[in-house]
Amino acid sequence: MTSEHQVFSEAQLHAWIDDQLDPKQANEIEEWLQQQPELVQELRDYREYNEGLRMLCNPVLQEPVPERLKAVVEPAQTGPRRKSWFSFSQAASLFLAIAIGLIAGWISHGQYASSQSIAQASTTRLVQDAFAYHVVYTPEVLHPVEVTASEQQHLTQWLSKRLKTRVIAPPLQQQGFKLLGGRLLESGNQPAAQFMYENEQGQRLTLFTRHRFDAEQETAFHYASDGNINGFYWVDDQLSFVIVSEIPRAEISKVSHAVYQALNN
Amino acid sequence: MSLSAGNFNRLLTEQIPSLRRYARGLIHHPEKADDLVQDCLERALSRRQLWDSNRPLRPWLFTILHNLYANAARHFHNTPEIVSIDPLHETAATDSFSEVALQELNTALHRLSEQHREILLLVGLEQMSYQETAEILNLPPGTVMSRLARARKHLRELMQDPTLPNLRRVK
Repeated sequence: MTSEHQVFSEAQLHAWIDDQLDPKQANEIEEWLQQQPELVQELRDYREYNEGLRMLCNPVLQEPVPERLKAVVEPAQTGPRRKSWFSFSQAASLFLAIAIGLIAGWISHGQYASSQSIAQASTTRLVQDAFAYHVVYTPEVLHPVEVTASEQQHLTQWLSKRLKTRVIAPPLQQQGFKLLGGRLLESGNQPAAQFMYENEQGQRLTLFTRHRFDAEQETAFHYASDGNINGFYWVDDQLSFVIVSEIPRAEISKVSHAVYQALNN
Repeated sequence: MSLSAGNFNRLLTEQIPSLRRYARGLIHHPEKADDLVQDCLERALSRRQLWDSNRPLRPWLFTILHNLYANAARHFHNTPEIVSIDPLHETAATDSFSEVALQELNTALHRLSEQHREILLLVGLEQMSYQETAEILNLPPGTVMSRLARARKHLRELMQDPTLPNLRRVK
């Protein structure tokens, strides 16, 4: 765009293209341009590209803003997930249920509990922890996860190291869920990992896992629910898993099978 | 700065459509573009105290978005569908641009480097001043001008390249 006879600087010409000149300067340039036919076409093209970019992208302005973006700024005014549907009374009842389960287990088996019941108790504990952590972290707007999915490799390496077993975050795009990230937690005095996923509707799903306890037997899928929260759990040869979400049982079942497949490939 | 959280949130909400437009220009994939906007909003909220409320919010937000994009560009770059020519969001063909030409512009835009795409979108689409653009990209004003000039030249080359029949202008 530069030529030997140029009387206007390149910066001025760009400012003309971008309508950043006052009318007087713009007129001067336009007059001068009449003697510069080779330059005129180039500058006109640039102006057209500006217009083209606006035509290309302006329709986005008319789109409704997705709920998940509104929810970041106005957490209180959005859909059920962001709303604190999780009341303290619900929390209390959940923790009460955990306490009753543990006490009942302790009373019925006493100190002579068989390894079978220890296994049951630890699996029960795992499921209860998975539900509790789901309830605690999924409503989080700013910090749902400790390490985000953008650092997925670091995330799984870190958690694998802490759990002393290879842990992966299975891809669930086909089931409509995108990985948000994960965090390190605790269950039964053992490090545990929580991966969090989210679908287009902003519903979240967590996959909770820790190393299998020696006493735990490998199991098939089991279903658990607490109010509107559904879960599936199973015990693998290395790890025990719980998947928790508010999505319907049939859907969470599909996701669980997909996770199982991904982990056993 | 003593701007209440509610007021800040209201100003932030007003900027969401324009942040989404810019992100969609940068990243062809709508979900990923919104991911970037979401990260930007979250970071803006967590750094609210760092914003000088005597200054306009928009360039501050675009600076955050630029930094996030620059850090994550590799991640977005790995995604092959960025350059695919999907059916565009609804666009109205006008005198100067046919629907086909817009598709070509879109393709050409996504063949540019991230740096060139960013500067063309900030200036051409978002109509930021050169000074604002310099601040957002953290560049000296002279570099803004030279980068803008190179980005435009490269875009024009792509639009006119006869070896790429899909990129020929149809008018």
